[in-house]
Amino acid sequence: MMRSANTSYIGGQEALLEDAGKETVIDVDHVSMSFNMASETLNNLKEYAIAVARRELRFKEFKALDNVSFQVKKGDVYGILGTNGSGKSTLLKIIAGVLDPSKGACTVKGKIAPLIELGAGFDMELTARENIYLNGALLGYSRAFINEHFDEIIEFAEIEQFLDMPLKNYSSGMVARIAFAIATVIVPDILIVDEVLSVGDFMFQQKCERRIASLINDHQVTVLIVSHDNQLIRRLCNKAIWIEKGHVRIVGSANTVCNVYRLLGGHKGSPQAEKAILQRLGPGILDAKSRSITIAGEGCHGTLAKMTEAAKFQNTDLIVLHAGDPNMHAIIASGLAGLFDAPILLARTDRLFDVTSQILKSAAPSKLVLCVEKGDSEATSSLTNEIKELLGDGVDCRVLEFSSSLSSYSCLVYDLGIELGGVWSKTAAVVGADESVAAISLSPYLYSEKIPLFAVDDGSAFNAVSWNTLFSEIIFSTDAVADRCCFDTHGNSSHLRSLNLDAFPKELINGKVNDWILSKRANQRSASFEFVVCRGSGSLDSYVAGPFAGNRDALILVDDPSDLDSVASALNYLEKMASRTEQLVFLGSELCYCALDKALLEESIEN
Amino acid sequence: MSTFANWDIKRNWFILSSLISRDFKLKYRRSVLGVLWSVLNPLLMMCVLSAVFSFMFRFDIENFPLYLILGNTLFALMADSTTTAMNSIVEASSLIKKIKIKKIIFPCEKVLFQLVNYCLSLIAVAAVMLYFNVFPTVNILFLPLLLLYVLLFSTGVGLLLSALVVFFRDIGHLWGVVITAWTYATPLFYPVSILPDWMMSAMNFNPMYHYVTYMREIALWGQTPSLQENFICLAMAFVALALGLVVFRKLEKKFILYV
Repeated sequence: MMRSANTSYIGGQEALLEDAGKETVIDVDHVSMSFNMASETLNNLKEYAIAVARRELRFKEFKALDNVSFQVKKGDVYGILGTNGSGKSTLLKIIAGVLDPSKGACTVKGKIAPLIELGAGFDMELTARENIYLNGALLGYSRAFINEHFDEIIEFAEIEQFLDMPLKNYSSGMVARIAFAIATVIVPDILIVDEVLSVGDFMFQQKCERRIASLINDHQVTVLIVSHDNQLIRRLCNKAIWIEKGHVRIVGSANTVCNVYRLLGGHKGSPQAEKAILQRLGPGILDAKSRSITIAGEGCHGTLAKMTEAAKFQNTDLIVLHAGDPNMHAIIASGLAGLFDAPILLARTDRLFDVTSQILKSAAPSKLVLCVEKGDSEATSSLTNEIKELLGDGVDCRVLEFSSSLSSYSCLVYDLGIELGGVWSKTAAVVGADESVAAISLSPYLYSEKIPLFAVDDGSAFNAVSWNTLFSEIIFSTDAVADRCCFDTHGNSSHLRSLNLDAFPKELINGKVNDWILSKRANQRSASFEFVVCRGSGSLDSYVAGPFAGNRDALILVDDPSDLDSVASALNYLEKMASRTEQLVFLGSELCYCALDKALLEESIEN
Repeated sequence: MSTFANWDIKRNWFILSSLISRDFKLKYRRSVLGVLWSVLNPLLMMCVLSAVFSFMFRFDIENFPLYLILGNTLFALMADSTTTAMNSIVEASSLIKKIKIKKIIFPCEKVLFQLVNYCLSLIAVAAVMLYFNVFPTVNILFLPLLLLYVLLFSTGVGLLLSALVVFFRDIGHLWGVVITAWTYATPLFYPVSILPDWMMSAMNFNPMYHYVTYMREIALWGQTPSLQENFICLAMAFVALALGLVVFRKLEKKFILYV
C-alpha cells in the first residue's frame, strides 16, 4: 500500500504574532522553486535536438518548494526540520542567494555567513594555510581580516602542527574543523547552518555548538539551522519550521514544532490519524510520568531475554528455542511453551546468543524444543551440539523443523505438545498465514489458556476433519479462513466462532482481538491489566511477546510509531481502556519508541 | 560590516588573486623545475617546430625560430585561456552551488592566470631574441596594448564558451578541434606570402592573424603598428567581449541548475 506523506498546513503561525513589532531580517515571500527534471538529463546537442523535436523539453517539473512563506525576525534562532528531500537545503540556498526562486521573492537584510556545506572551495592539493586564505576569500573576507584572525582560526580548528600539510592528507573531520573555524570566525548578521554539526568528533561538535550559542547569545546573530538532531534544535532554537515535500507544515516555537515533527515527520497515515495525534499533543507532554516501564535488550533476542527474566515462568524444566528471526512460526511455537508455562527463547540458526545461553545454563531444563528451519542440517547440528555442550548430553532435545507451510507446522507443534504430555485447551484458534497482527494480538491469551494456534496457508485447504472430537470451540479470525478448513461438523456448527476481523481496517484488528480476549476473561480475571506495547508485524519483538504478556495476564497493544493510523487507533483504544490499564510495558529501545512516543501513550491513560 | 571586504571590487579582486595563486601553486606543485617550465615549455616547443619546419618544409623566413615562438606563445595564450575558461564554470560547480559568488570571476580568473603564464614565457622569447641578436625597438612598448586586445578577445570567447558548455558539454570536445584547425589557419609557422589571394582575404577575418602579425611587427620587424591595425585589433576584441558578456549574463542565472 502506497501512502504518501501529508503536506497540508497544520498551523502555528498564530503563536508568532507577538513579535510583529520586531524587525524582519529574512522575508521568504511565497517562494516556489521548481526544477526541470526532463532537461536535467540532456547533456549533449543530439539529445537536446531530439527533445526539442519531441516537444518534451519543458515536460517534467519537480517542485522542490511550493509557495513557502515565513519571516525570520532579528535575533531569532530558527530551526528548519524536514525529512530528507523535503527542500530544506533548497530553501537555505535561496536565502543565501545561491539559488534564485522560480516564483516569489526572498529578501534578506544583512550579511550572511553561509555554512551550507562546509569547505566549499577547499582544494585538497593545497595546504591548510593556503586553503584558509582561499576559503576566506570565497566567503568574502578581506586579506587583512584573515591575517588578523589567522591564529584564532587555527587555534579553534586545533591544527597548529599540520598547517603546511596538503589538505588531502587530512581526515574529513579535520577538514570540517578548519571549514567551521573559517566560517564562524566572523560575527555575521545572519548565520546559516546546514547539517554541519554532524561531522567532527564529539568534542568538536560541542565546541561548534558553543561557538554558535555564543554567536546567538552574545552577538544576537540571527541563525537558521537545518538539522536532523531534534535535541540540538530544542537546545539552540526558539522557533522552528517543518517543511515536508516543499510545503510548510507548521511554524511555531521550537518545542512544539519538534514534538510535532518527531511524531508525524516522515510517518505515513491518514490526515484524520494525524489530527487525532495532534489533539493529544499538549505542551506538557514530556513531563515525567510513571505509567510505563520499558524492556529493551540488545536486539530482539536481548529484549526477549529481559522479558523472560521479568516474567516469572513456573516451569523452566522445558524451554522452547526458536532458531532464526522470529516470525509466525515463533508465535505457533510459543503456544507450545504456553502448554507447559515455559519460556521461549531465541537463537541464531547455527549458534546460541550469549544471553540465551546464560538463561539456559541457569535454568538447566531437562527438555528442550528446538525449532529450526528445514534444510540447513549443518547449522542445526552445530546448534544442537552447542546446546548439548551447555546442558549436558542428558538433555531431551526435540527438534521441530519448520518449512514455509505454517499449516503443517501448527499440526507438528500440536502433536509434539501431546507427545510431551501436555493437555491442550478444548478451544483452538485459527488464523490465516498472513494475519500476523491478529496472531500477535491473540498470543498472550493463547499462551495463558493453552490454546493451540493453527495458521492456514494462503490458498490451500486445511485438513481438520477430526477437529470436532478434539475441540469444543474453534475461533477463526475470519470467515474466509474458516471456509478453507475442511472439517466435519456433523451438522452442528455452534462451536465455530468467527471474529470477522476482515471487516475492520488493519489498524483496528489489534483492538478487536483484545476486546474479544477481555470478554472471555471477564469473569475470572482482575479488572485492571497491563498492556505490552510492541510495533506489530514489522518488528521481531512482537512475535515473541506472547509468553511474557500471557504470563503477566497482560494484553498486547500494537503501536507502530511510523504508522500514524496505528498510533491513532492505539491512542483511541487506550483512552477507552484508561480506567482499567495498570501500566504500559514498552518493548524495544529508544529506536523503537522514543520518549515522545511513550509519553503520548502514557498521556492517554493518565486521566 | 567592516570585517567583510568593503567594496565589491576589492572583494572580487581578492577572490580573483586567491584563485590565480591557487592555480599557480597547483600547476607547479611537485615538479622539480617548477616555474621554470613556463619558460622551458615554449623554448622546447620552438626547438621541435623549427627542427620540423627547417628540414621538411622550408620557408624562407629570417630568424625562423623567433618567428615561430612569437606566434606560438601568443596563440597559446589565446588557446589556453579560452580552453581553461570554457571549463571553469563546470569545474567550479561545487562553489557555485554553495556560495553566493559572481560567476564571471571563474572564466576571467583563468584568462588572467594564462596571462601570468604568458608573461613568464616572454622570458623565453627574450632569450631567443638575444640569441638571434634581434633587439627590441621602441615599438616593443606596444606590447601591453596588444596583450590587452588579446586578453579582451580571449575573455569574450572564454565567457561565451564557458556559458554554452554548461548546457552542451559537446562544445568542450569540439573546441579542441577548432583550436587545432585555427592553429593551421593562422600563419604561425608559414609566411603569409605562400597563401593564395582568396585565402589572404579570408585571413583578414581571423583575429589571431592580426594579433600574431601585430606581435611580429613590434618584436621582430621593429615596425610601428598602424592606427588602422590597432583599430581592427580593438574592434575584434570588443565584438568578442560583447558577445561573450551578453550570452554569459543571459545564461548565468541558470548555471546552478545544470552544473
